[in-house]
Amino acid sequence: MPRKSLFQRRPLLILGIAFLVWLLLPGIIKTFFRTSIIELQAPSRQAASVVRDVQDYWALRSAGRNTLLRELSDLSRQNSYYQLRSQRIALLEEEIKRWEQLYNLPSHPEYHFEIARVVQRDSTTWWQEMTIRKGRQHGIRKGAPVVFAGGVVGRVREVHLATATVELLSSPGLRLSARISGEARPLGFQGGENRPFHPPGGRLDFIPADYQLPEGTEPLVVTTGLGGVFPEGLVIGRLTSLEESEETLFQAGRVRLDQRLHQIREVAVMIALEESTQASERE
Amino acid sequence: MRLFALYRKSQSRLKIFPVFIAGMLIVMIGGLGWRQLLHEQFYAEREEIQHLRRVLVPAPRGNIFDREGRLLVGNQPRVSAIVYLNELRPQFRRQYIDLVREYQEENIPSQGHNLQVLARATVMQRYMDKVNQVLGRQDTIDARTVERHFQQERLIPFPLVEDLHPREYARLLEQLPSDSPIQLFTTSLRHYPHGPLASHSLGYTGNLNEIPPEGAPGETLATFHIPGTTGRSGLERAFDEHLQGQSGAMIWLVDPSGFQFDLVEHSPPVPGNDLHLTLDARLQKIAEQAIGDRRGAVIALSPQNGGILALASTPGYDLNDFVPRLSSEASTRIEEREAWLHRGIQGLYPPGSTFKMITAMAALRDGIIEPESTSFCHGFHTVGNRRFPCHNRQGHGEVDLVEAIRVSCNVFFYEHGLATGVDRIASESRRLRLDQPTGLEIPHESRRMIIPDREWKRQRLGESWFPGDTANLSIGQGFIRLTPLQMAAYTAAFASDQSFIQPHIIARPESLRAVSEDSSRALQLEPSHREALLQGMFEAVETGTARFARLDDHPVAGKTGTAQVRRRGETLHMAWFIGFAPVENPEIAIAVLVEGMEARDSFAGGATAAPIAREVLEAFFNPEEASDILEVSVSP
Repeated sequence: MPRKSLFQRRPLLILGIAFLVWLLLPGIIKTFFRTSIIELQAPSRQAASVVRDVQDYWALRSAGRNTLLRELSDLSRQNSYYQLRSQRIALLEEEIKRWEQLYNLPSHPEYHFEIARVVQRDSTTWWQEMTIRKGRQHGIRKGAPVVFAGGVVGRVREVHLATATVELLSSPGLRLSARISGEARPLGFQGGENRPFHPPGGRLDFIPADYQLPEGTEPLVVTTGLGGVFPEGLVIGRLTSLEESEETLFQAGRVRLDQRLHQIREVAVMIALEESTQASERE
Repeated sequence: MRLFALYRKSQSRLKIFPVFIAGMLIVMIGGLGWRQLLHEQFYAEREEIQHLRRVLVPAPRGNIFDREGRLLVGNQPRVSAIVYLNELRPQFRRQYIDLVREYQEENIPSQGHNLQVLARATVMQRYMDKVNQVLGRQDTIDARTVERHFQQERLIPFPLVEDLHPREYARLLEQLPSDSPIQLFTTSLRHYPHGPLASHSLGYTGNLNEIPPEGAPGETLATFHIPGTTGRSGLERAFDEHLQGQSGAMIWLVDPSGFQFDLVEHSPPVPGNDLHLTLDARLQKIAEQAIGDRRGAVIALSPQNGGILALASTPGYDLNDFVPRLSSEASTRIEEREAWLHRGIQGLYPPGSTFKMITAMAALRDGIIEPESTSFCHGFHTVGNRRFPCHNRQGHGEVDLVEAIRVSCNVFFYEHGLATGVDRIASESRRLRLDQPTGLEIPHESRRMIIPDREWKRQRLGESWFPGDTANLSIGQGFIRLTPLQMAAYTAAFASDQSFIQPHIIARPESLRAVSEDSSRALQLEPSHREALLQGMFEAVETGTARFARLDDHPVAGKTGTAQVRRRGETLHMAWFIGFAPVENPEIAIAVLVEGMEARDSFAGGATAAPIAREVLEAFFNPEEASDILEVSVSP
């Protein structure tokens, strides 16, 4: 067998050298490279996302008049319903504020919602993240909670100029303080129960040993608001089963997350008003 | 070989060499075989001991429930923010190198060990700062604590912050990355949902640095203990073994530095067994509320089986103050209020007029009196040259046994007590087992009760017994000392026509059984005699001294007592009530004692103790009453 010359082995050699150089590079340079690549890719990703939006727009344009009228009528009904709900919520908020003042309670932080389109979604078993079309220039901050109509989506992990990466609720790296609806005790939710061809899931820890799953129901798991990141009462998922934990004081539970997490097109990033005011003052 | 053969021919002395070498080889192979085949087990064990370490994890203690299955003592998680030193070793090393470089650059002389200590403390403080940042605290790391942990307990997690409030652990959970070396570590702590309820009886736990290893694997290995708890008083102490559970064990393969390398075996802890009591938490609460801020005891039990329904001792203490450990301020508070004493089983008091029942029993049993026997009360009785007063200074006039019990006439009992004599009264007391502890399962029941007689006085005081002593004893005064539990047990026994009933607080299948038919325990009083005593007690509640214990719906039999004790130059009053209800087929027997603290506390059995008993009896017969008294609020 003829021996390969050094020239013939060049690709492997270059790859090896590049790998070694990458390993030896200081962290700051690696971060710079990574960020630069993301920023360079961002316009193309954004463009692709806009194109998808345009496609959707034209797809809707081609819908029949009757379909549109029906949709319009449905929307009008929902709109009336939500207007009523909105009035009711406003009244309740006023009431809560009054009680808070009466008892000198700390008021709940208020948020403004920055709506963002999803550019790219990777919710495979390996990666649990999505990229959204809003970034630093839109006031998005690292760690901000991200929600959608079904509840929690995740948390902003990285912020770039015009895009941001959101760590999904189903990521094993995401933990948050949760409680079972109707229970007061704070528990720990951690994403990561993601088996191929199964809906996304997570795990609920620190469930007291005396808790029993109500028969035939799957109680909601919601945020506690105690953790300082997510406000109270956002839906995380449903508790489907309990299993004994090695720590005999507790049980662990499986949480089924919203199936729509894999198909979300639009999310809202919650930015604490106080935080955004401070940021604008700094600017 | 040829060379060797040549030498063998020429040097016959060389022949010894092959023999010698062969011998050596045989010894060597034999030695190897001996060590590797015959002593294989020994060396395997030594290897294990050198490379394996055991970490014992305490089991959650069993719960304690009342007769209705209400939780009296449970467990709550104790969450701590911890780091495993093993995971920080590369950082320790880096920090050490940085420090060495720094010291060299600045020409500061230092010892390597000191720098290692400093490096470890610096790294730990960095993690502490992260926790501080999330929780808004300003905790610091003590380098000596880190070093001690590093040297002695390196397999045990190092606690950065212990006892995190749910809000705090929620913040850490949400704000620290999931792969952070800072982890949340939970152990179990005792939780008392009703705080001070039955504090003396339930007891408290204390920290135990070396938890019991029984049943855990790896008993020959060097062992590290995650601290647990052990019962220090009350039922927690008496049933510590039952409640303790079986410790879990983690067996780690360690590297030459003694740090975790691989988890070889993990056996999870087995929770302790639960304890079910005869106590009724609702009744207990009502008893404690009824006695209020006063010092004393309320004991209620079933005359049918001796099961304790309430065992209140006041002042008590909040058992949650002992979790995780009692602060010196809380300890001082308990000390100042003299609240350590379980007055129900340890407090010794003269029983006062409640003892008249026993004097009467002794007199009736030996035929000294009949139910019809009378005395004339002028308001006092003279013994020798000393006047013994009745509480009614004007006198009760002529009284028979029933009337004497109803109005608690001292003169009747002085007169007939003297006729009966100290020996018979003491003998009757012993028949009712008042000279010994009842044997309740709660530890430290007093053994120092006194049933005085001639022998006792001679031995204890070196004096003879005088008739005045008998007069005092007849009305439960003088040297006699009994615990409220003894009085309650004696009342329950009398209610069920027994001489003794074994009180118990642990629910057992036997407790469901009716009173023993054992004839040796029967009271063995003439029915007419017992009837007269019952009538006296009934009338005492209906119209006599114990009328404040009267219930509208259930006939109650009772007897009050007000004993005097000289303490620190003052005469203090001890208010007593003993009784049971209903008079026929009694379901509950009760003893109440309220202890006077100062001379101005004008406590009396009828006015002070009887109303307390009424509240408890009323609650017993009306289970729906105050059913929400035990509601526990749960907050995050």
